[in-house]
Amino acid sequence: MDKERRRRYEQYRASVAGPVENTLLDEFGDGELDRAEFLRRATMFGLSASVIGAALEALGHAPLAFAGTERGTAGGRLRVGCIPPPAHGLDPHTYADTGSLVTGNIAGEMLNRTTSTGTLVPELATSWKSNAAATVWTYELRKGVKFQTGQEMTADDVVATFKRLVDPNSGSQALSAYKGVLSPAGVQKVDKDTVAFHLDAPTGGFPFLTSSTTYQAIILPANYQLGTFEKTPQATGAFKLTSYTPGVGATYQPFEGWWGGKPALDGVDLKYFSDDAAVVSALLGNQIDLINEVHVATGRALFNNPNVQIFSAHGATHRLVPMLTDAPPFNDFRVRQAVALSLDRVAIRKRLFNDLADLGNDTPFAPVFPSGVKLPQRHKDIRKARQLMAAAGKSRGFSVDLTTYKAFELPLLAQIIQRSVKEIGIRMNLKILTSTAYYAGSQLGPPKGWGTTPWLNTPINITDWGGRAIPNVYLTASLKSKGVWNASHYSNKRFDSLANSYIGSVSLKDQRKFARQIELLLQHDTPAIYPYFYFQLGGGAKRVRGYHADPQGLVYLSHTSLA
Amino acid sequence: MSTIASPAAGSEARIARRETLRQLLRSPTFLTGAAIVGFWVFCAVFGFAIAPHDPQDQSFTPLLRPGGAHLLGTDNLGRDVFSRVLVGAGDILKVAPLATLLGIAGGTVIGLVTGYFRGLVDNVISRIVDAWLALPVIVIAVTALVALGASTITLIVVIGVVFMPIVSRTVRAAVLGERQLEYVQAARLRGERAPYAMFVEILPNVMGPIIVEATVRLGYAIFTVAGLTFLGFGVQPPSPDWALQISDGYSLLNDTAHQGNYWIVLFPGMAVASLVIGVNLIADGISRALER
Repeated sequence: MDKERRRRYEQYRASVAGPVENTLLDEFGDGELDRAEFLRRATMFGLSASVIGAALEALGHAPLAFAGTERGTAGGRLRVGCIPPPAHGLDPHTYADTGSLVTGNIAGEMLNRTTSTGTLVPELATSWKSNAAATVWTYELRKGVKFQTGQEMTADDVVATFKRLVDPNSGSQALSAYKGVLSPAGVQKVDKDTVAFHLDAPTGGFPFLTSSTTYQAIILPANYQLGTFEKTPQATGAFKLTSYTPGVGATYQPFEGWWGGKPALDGVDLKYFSDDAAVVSALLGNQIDLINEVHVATGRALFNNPNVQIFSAHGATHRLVPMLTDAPPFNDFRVRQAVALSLDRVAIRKRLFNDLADLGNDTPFAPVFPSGVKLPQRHKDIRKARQLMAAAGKSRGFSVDLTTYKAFELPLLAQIIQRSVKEIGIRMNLKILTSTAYYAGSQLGPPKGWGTTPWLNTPINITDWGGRAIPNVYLTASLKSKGVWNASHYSNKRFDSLANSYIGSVSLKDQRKFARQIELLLQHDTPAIYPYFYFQLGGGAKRVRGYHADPQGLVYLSHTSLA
Repeated sequence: MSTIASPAAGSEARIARRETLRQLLRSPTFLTGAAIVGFWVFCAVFGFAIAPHDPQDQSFTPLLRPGGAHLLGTDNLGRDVFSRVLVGAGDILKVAPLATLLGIAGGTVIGLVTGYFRGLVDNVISRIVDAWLALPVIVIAVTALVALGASTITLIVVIGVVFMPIVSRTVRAAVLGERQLEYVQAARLRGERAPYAMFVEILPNVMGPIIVEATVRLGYAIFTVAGLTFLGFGVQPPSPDWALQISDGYSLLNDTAHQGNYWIVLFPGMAVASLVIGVNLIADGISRALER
């Protein structure tokens, strides 16, 4: 490292960097973080590439390498198969299902983006920075960004978009990420190119919540009219949505005014599928070039096929098996532990994912989260499980219904669980509903209870949970006493306070301290089983270039091309 | 018939029945059908005892090809396909006959009423039945099952109710032929009430078409249960039900590198087909015997 760079680096630390940045740089210097974790957190806290590079060099690491995207030249239209079709309209703040988030996010962009390796890259914001307590985050917006309507993007547009996203009365699905973190009054314009977020509670990982992880956070013009997303192109992305037919498909044309230049593709044709076998056959039959999401259990034909490339993103997407902690038979933690100990997770991972998944350890801290602590892996232990059942006075077992729905590998997992708990005397009856029936009914949320919907009110069920770049939503929505998606009805004051401490921590050391306590507590209480965290997989023809699977299931095509 | 029948007429009916039975037992069509259906009934009852492996045992290597220790291979959860095919008739043989019975009972009542009364009653009920018949069976059944939730009982009730109007048309046609005959007129002149005339006088004389209708309906009921199960609304996992096996396995069919894992789908498919063919052969045999 030359003298001049070191001088600039030290100057940055002394005058520009706040306590958040310096804590991170110290942690990296002390060896608390490895290189990948440092990069992830450095991008989260908004350190510039030059500072990150200087820090790496100062501590004897290889400099940052900027890999160019491998790019084809042919132009051409990319044909994308999307499963399943959007369930509702396309107003971005209402996205809750894969079909709509895929459709909207080909055209839309966020302030920043989470990459397939878990780092953050700038998009419509060029930098972000927090105060020492991680309660105020200030974002500098990219200059010269145009909406597809032709108008220029300013702080007013970002403020209007975020006020809608955090408004409890707007029907926003992004509240799962922002509830208790950000309120409408906290979204403030500083000047034409700067926005500040004044948070309700300290949140170290806040920049992830403005990124593609919150797939509803597409920036729209301040004068956006609800219900017009599919009618008028008005996002900022490389492609504009030019036609949309519900249940059939959508087409996109390149946006000439895109701030990123000219996309390589001549356009995108999106086609909806409702059936795994049909979309797989379409790719094998060269009717489409790319599938947004494939599964080992239902897409075996694609794996080891020489004409197909599989895109994989290590993520936190998982299946949750919550057990109702406030009613028999699962109101005794020993019974819940016994169920967890009856599962042979290694065999399940092999059978359902051909090992393309991480083992779960009954906490939401997926191995992909660096803030988690690796506790000893929970394995099948029938002897111990029987002892626990006996201690709980249930040595003769009991009958119970397990509810889930017919999609992906869920029915297969249900059958494996049913067979596994048979060994400890639990007679499990399976109720495999349609996805509509499974998510039907009211979802009032506390303090009114959890409504009537099966997925929040059945003794034991299996629910699919999307990936997130940080575990905050998993902790707040599915485990905190007042969590809106707390399907276990788990209520533990100590957990609530630990979760708050974890979310408010800025340093990795503190996060790990609280994460360890949370993990130990959750393994003891076992309000839910996390059997595995599977990799987000996509499939494509060999001629697709520059595409990466997204840990949240988005299809990002701005830098994709065809050979 | 019974009240005006002489003892000689009664024995004539008995002789006719015995003759029909004799015809049936000599009919190769009927016997083949009965053998096939009998085989599956036997498997449904004793399958768990004769199957080489526990049909729910997931401990084998998944997706093994047919041959060796697993005659018909193993499925994607590592269960023995042969054992599952053997016991897979259980649920379908419970649901389909009960649904058929319900459909026949309800349809017969509607058919008797519409055929016997004619006039306004016939017009109103028949138009409703016509409208009902215009809707595809599977669509009505799926809608009802989504609304009521899938369980064995609802499945039986839904298929039974969906079949009632279809059965009622056959019964009504048969009743129309009978109601003009003298024995019905005689009963009316005697001042018998309508229910008596319908159920005691007419019903025994239209039993032939009803029995044929019942066997034909049973074939359709098996298809309907299988179809609904395939769509996810019928029999629930982990039942080794044939249609459920097909539903679980068909997405693996495009895996050409592994021969499409055809054995998971082909063998349960052949089993469903053989059961339906067996039932239809029985229906054919009965219908021919009754014609003679």
